[in-house]
This record gives sequence, C-alpha cells and structure tokens, in this order.
Amino acid sequence: MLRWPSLLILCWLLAACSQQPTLDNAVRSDDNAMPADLSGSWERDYWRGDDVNRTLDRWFRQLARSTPDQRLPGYPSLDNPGALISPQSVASILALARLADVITRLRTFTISQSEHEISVERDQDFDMLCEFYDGVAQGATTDYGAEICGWDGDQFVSRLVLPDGLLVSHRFTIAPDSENLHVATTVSSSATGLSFTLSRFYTKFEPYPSQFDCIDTFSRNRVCTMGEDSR
Amino acid sequence: MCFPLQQAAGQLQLEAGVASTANERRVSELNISITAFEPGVPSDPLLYRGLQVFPRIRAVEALLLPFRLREILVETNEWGAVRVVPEPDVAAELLVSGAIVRSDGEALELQVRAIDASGRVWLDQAYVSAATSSNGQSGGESGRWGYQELFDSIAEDLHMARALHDDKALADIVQVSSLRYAYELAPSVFGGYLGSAPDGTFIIQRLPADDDPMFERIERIRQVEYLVIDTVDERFQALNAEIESIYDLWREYRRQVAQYQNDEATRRQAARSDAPRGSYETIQTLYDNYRWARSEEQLRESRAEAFDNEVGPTVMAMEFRVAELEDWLEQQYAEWRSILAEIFYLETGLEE
Repeated sequence: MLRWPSLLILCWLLAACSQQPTLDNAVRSDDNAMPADLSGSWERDYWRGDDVNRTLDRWFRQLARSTPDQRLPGYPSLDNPGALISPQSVASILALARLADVITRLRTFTISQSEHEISVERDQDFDMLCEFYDGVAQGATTDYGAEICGWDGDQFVSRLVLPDGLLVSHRFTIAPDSENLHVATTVSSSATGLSFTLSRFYTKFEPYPSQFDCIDTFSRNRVCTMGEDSR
Repeated sequence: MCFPLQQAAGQLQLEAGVASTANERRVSELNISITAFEPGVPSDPLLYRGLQVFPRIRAVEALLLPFRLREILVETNEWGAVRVVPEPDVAAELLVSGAIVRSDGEALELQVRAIDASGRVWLDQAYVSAATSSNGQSGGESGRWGYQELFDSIAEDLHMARALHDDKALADIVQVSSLRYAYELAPSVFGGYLGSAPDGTFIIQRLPADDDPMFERIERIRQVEYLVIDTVDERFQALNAEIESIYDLWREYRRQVAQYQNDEATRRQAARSDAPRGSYETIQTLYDNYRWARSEEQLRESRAEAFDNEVGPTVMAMEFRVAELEDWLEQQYAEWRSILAEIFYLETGLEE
C-alpha cells in the first residue's frame, strides 16, 4: 500500500509530466533576495480577468475545432492532437473550472513579505505560505497535501499538491508599476490530464487605518487601545 | 546520620524549595540544582511548523518545567535546597538537566539527566506523559498540574538512584562538590585534592584541614553565590506565579485542540465520498480537507502568538534581570579569583 509521502511524490511526478502549459517544473529560489515585492493589500479588478463561463466556452469551442478524424463517434477531443475526451472528462473539466472559480472568488487579500517568508492572507481560505531559508523555499505540509512554492523568475509560484493527482497552482506576477497584480490559478488533475486556468487581476489599495492599536492576547483575547492619532 | 554542613545562604531562606533552618542536614539531603531545560527548538526554522514547535513558548516552557520539577522535589521533603539555576553548575551536589523533546498538546516528552558532583550519572532517560486537563480530572492523572505523573516519576527515579548510595558515598559527593567549587576558584591551591577514577569520575585524594583559611574563604564565597542563585530562583518563582495560569490555559488549549484535530482527522478519513473520481464533490473534498488542516494550523499559530504577546514582556523582563545577576556574578568571580590568588601569594609566596 502506498503511504502518503510516496503518493505525494507520485502525484508530483504525474503532475509534472502532464501537458500543462501554465505549470513548469522549475520552482527556483536560488538566493535569499526576493526578485519582486508583492506585499500589500490587493483588491480584485472585476473589469479585467477571466470569466469562468466564457473560459469554458472557449475551451469547448477549441474542442469543436479538433480534427474530426481523431474523435470517437459522439466524443469530442482535446485540442492537443491525439487526445480523446469522454463525457467523464467533460464532467472533470467542469469540476476543475468550478473549483478554480470558487478558489479565486475572493475580493481582497493581503500579501505579507519579509526576508524569509511570503504569506498570502485570504478571507475564507487558508493563508498560502512560503518560507525561505538558505536558498530553500518551503511551503506548508499537512496530512492532506503540501504546498510547493518559490520564485520562477519574477513570478511567485505556489502549487498545492493534493491526493489523487489534484494540483492547484497560483502564479503571481506584479506589474512594473507595482500597483497591479496578475494571478493565474490553474487547477489540474493528473488523473484526467486536464487543467483549467483562470486569470485574475488585482489592484493595490491602502486599508483604512484603524483608530485602535490592538494586540491579541491568550487569556483576554483582543486587547485594544486608542491609537496615537486618535488621542 | 547528620554531618555538619556549611551554612549555605540558600538555606537561610525558609520559603518553599529551601531546606529547613539548620546548619545541619541529613546526609541524604543533597542539594539539587536544576538547570533551565533545553527548549528543544530545531536549528532549522523550516521544521518548526511540521513539528508544531513555537520557539518563544518553548523558551517559556524551558523555564517553567524545571520549576515544576523543583516543586515536586521540594514536596518530597527528602532533599536539601532545590534550586532552579539558569546555567549548569558543574560543582552542584546533584545537577539535574533536561531537554524538551516534545510538547505539543498531546504529550510532553522530556529527556532528563542527573549527575552528581563526582560525575556519576544517576539518571539519563526519557519521560513521556500524555496531556491531561489542567485540573487533572481526565486522562487518569491527578494533581494540580498536567504532567504531574511525569514529574512524580522523575522524583521517584531520583529517590531510587539515591538509594543505591550509602551514607559514605553521599557524604563524599558533598565533599567533592565543595572541592570542585574550590578548584574552580583557586585551582593551584585545590588542584591536588581531587583525582580521577578510571571511569572518569572524581575521587577525593585528600581533604583540607577543618580550619583551612582558604577553604573557609571559598565556602563564604559559595554562600554569596547561593544568595545570588536564590535571588535568581525567586525571579523564577515570581515568573512562575505570574504566568502559571496563562500557561495552564495554553496547555489546556493545546490538549483540547489536539484532541479535536485527531477526532476530526479520523472523521474525515472515515467519511470517504463515493462520488466518482474527478467529480466536483471529490476534488472539493480534497481541497477542503487541506484547507481545514491549514486553517487549524494557522489558528494554533495565532494563539501561540497571542500567548507570546501576553507572557513575552514578563519573560523578557525576568530574563533581563537574571542576565544582570549573572553578569554581576561573573564579574565577582573574576574579582574573587584575583583576590584569592593574591592571598595565596601572600600566605605562601607561590604564584597562583
């Protein structure tokens, strides 16, 4: 019986070998310097980015353009030559699309970045975390999956490797003006060889400053005092 | 059997942890120094999360847990002065040290070592205890503290180890302790008093005369050191009193969370979906399981931070004060060594 570490490696290998243009194998973190500063509060720019339904339409239109002689009767094929798709695969791509949509629905998030850590704090979801020590980038690991993270050039990449060959990848690219952020989220399954990517754009914003200076304590929960500016 | 013992400053104190009034104590009542435990924080920060190690909390535990052992030993009323010391005292009659191997809400594991002044190891073993509630009502333990059984076991093992020594051996330990301390301060004078056995332990070669003035001076210095150590010990007591209740809350929180997480993990393992592979229900469950595990981890970390926010300033103030006392003691040692060397020269004409 395969144990979890073996499964993890297997899943990772399967994911790495599948044809997924938005995922490359190299998650590099060669030195301690961060190639880009992603820190700040980010707000979704709804004018830009993918709509999940339109992206799915596009995906199915590509299927329709596939070479007819590569299709089994009644079965569409993928746009990559030779690949065949079954009704189960259609259900799978819809599932991947739905999960990608759910994951990327958040309106705002905050990125904290220090010399040793990048943390993407999201409401209603866990914080994506990547720690950097001695040139090694390490994400979180639990009994249910593992985050693999690092820099790929100027892009910060966080991949969540889940059982059953499910992979959720986020690729963060900051604009030269540092005020806009593009996040490409890909959900893929090595079991079906399918992947689905959604692009989201975010703009930086300054959160409204609080009137209070608060600190979390263990026995008294959150303790707040009036901030300096309010006195 | 009783034998005269120099009046340690620590013994002047009548508070808990300090042997009673007299200048005499039973031969079995060795003084114990418990050094602050090794916190067991891995050197690689990338391991913290996986091992559920919160370095600041481990630092607090490294100070509190020896104090709890001390209280247990004092309550047995079988030992001399029992002190918590910030640094290992090699001349201690019995030095107890420990390292935290695991402390994560599910269990506490300590590696405890006890070594007497002659260098004989009394104890070197791991102690593990499952967590219990603060009031000791669950998990089969009883007592004021969680993990009390663990500390009781250590106390019992020390008692058993001592039972292997006869009165002569115990008295020798006390003498070796005094001579090692004297050697530390005046090596030229006391270098010939102790020898080495084939097993590397110290043996007494000869003893100073009862009225040896140099030995008397050194004993007086040791009394001053005891006073300083007892002041440090009082700091530990004050720290313990101040943060004990918060630490117990933290420990209880960790215990409950660990229990909940184990139960929930079991439930999630058991609740396998029959949905087809690749279906939304299946992949959503996979994602949700991970999200749940990570969210729990984050909650733990935020509570650890809250704990540190609350006790951190107290611990830092205490550490600062102890460091001041240690610095002072260090400077005094240098001065004492110099004065003793000068006296030795005046009395014998020999260079130290």
